[in-house]
Amino acid sequence: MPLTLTLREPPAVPLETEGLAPDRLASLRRSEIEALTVWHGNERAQLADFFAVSGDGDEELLVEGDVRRVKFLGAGMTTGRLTVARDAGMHTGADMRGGELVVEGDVGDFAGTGMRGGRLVVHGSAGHQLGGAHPGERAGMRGGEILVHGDVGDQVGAGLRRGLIAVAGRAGDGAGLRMLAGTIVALGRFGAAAGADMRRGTIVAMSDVTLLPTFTYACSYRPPFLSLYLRHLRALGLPLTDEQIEGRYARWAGDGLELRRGEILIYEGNE
Amino acid sequence: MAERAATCAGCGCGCDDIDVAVAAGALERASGTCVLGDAWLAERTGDAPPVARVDGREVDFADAVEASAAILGDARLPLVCGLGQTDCESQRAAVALAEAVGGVIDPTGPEVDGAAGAASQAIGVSTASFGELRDRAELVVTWLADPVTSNPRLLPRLRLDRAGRAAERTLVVIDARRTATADEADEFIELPPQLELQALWAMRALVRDVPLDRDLAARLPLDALERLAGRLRTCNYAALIYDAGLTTAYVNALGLLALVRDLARVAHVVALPLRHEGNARGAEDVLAWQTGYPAAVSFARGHPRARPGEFTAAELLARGETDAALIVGFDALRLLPPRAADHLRRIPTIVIDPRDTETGAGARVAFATAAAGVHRDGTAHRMDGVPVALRAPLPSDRVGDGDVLAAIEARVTRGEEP
Repeated sequence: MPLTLTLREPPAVPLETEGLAPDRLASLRRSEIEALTVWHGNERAQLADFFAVSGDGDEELLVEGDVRRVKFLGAGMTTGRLTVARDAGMHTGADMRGGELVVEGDVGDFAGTGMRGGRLVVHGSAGHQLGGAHPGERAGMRGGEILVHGDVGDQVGAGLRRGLIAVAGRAGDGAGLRMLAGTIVALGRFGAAAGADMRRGTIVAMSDVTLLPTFTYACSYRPPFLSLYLRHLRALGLPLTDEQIEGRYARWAGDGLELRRGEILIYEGNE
Repeated sequence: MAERAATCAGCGCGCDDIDVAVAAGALERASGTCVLGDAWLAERTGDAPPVARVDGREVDFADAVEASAAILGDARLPLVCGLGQTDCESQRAAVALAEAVGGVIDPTGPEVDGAAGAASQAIGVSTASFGELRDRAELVVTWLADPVTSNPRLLPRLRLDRAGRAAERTLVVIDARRTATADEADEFIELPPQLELQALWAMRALVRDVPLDRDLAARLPLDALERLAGRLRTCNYAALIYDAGLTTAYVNALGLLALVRDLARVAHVVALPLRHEGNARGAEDVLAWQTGYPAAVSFARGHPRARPGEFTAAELLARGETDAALIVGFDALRLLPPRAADHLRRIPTIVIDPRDTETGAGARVAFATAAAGVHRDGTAHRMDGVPVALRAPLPSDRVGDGDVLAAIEARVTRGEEP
């Protein structure tokens, strides 16, 4: 049985738990894990005040209970595997550098902020600013993969510098806002202002998208790199069809107000 | 009967040329005010509730302070909000209290959510004072803003109303419908609000000569925007007036400030955000000066951290993540979104307000204070950031908002200091 942290009852105010990551906990004894500092609002507390610790395992951690108000789960993790059995709170997987973080339910805002590596998988939906930037920083996510099986909120991949974000459902407003590079794929609709002020990078839209007038049509083609990407995403569980993988895409270049090195690829079918 | 000088804080204009006639310690009449100013004065000179109440019962001031300190001391994440209608000195005391109790502080008004503040930190702002706009701006554009309604004396003070405007100055109004401001304008451009983003990006492309996809822009009033872009590029001094209270989407605020920044390459253009509350600008300024951030600041871990969205008062309340609230000069129950107001009814609240409000009536502890600008001296920041002195034309034996906040801070004890 993997090392399991079970939240006894939801905290009254959010619990901040930086460093609850499998790699960090693997080297600690049970008593040391129970004594780890967590912040219950403005009060310093110990992990054991809120969580029951059971099992043991190296590099694998399971978090159970209603942890919607638990922030920073898996923040900064570098290796191993963290599974959240239900919905997770804000800042889940922030600054992650490696390993795999799987959330079986939904995840709150700011998940994967400043992520640099590893993989974040969300089986439900994600909140706003997924894979975004820390306040005051220009660049957001710098590497790794985020896979969301539901919808995502506004400003997914804002300031994205590298890495891949794939969404099976809809994306909110301002997807890829001020993005610098990297890739965002959504199978559902995009909200307003996708790719606003993007410099480089790729946004892939499988259904219609309302473009800003500063994007210009380039061509219609079958991007060779994209079928590789999409095959990879299908292997990870994204419901992509053969038509989408082999299909034709309209390439819109933009944002003209920035470098116009970015592109929005819109699926056109596979005739 | 004595005529006394006063400053109105009924909106963000901070008009300091008001005269009030006082007889027997009561307000007789005010001259120089607009409708908003009259309402502001009336709210603060009407019958005041008891100085201090706990659960609706009148109590000694000291007992109410003790009760407040106990609520805040026991709370694990107290929220301090409101702040837009009090003086800068009281706002400063509110920041000190928020730090002492390890809480979240966020200026919260009827329509402000900090999107404009966050965008200005990402892009930067070029702005100017009223005096400079009045004397130098030859082209003024109001962007989805209606100052004639929201800030009635603004246009006359900037000499932009039809009667006071010089022939060589131009006022252009862009809005969803023909507003009262549009009636004062030389040109009105109709723009449905859902096309705002498209229009901002189109304007940015036009002023920078970036190719524009005309099919994608087909729903926009492109001819009018093109003429406007041409005028902005060739003018000596232009100003863009927008409504910081209505621009709630971060991307829209970002686009607007980016347009001003883009124009700065070819012309002198400034932006002026309209403010609805008398000292909303001061609340942001005081917070930025004390903590480094203009809004949504948490002291829970001992040092200031800011995150719009996470620590924004309305959203924090709607998610039910706070266990006590202190509200300064804001009728939160009436003006917050329903989900946020519902949570506010469930947690202990402390209200500090000179007026009799629904929020005060429902609060665990309510203080009725002397109003800044009517009964108390103080400082307010006008919407252009210029400090103006608030004066006290009427006497009062009550204490001000800041005194209550300082008294609570002096009595707060917390189990553990971070």
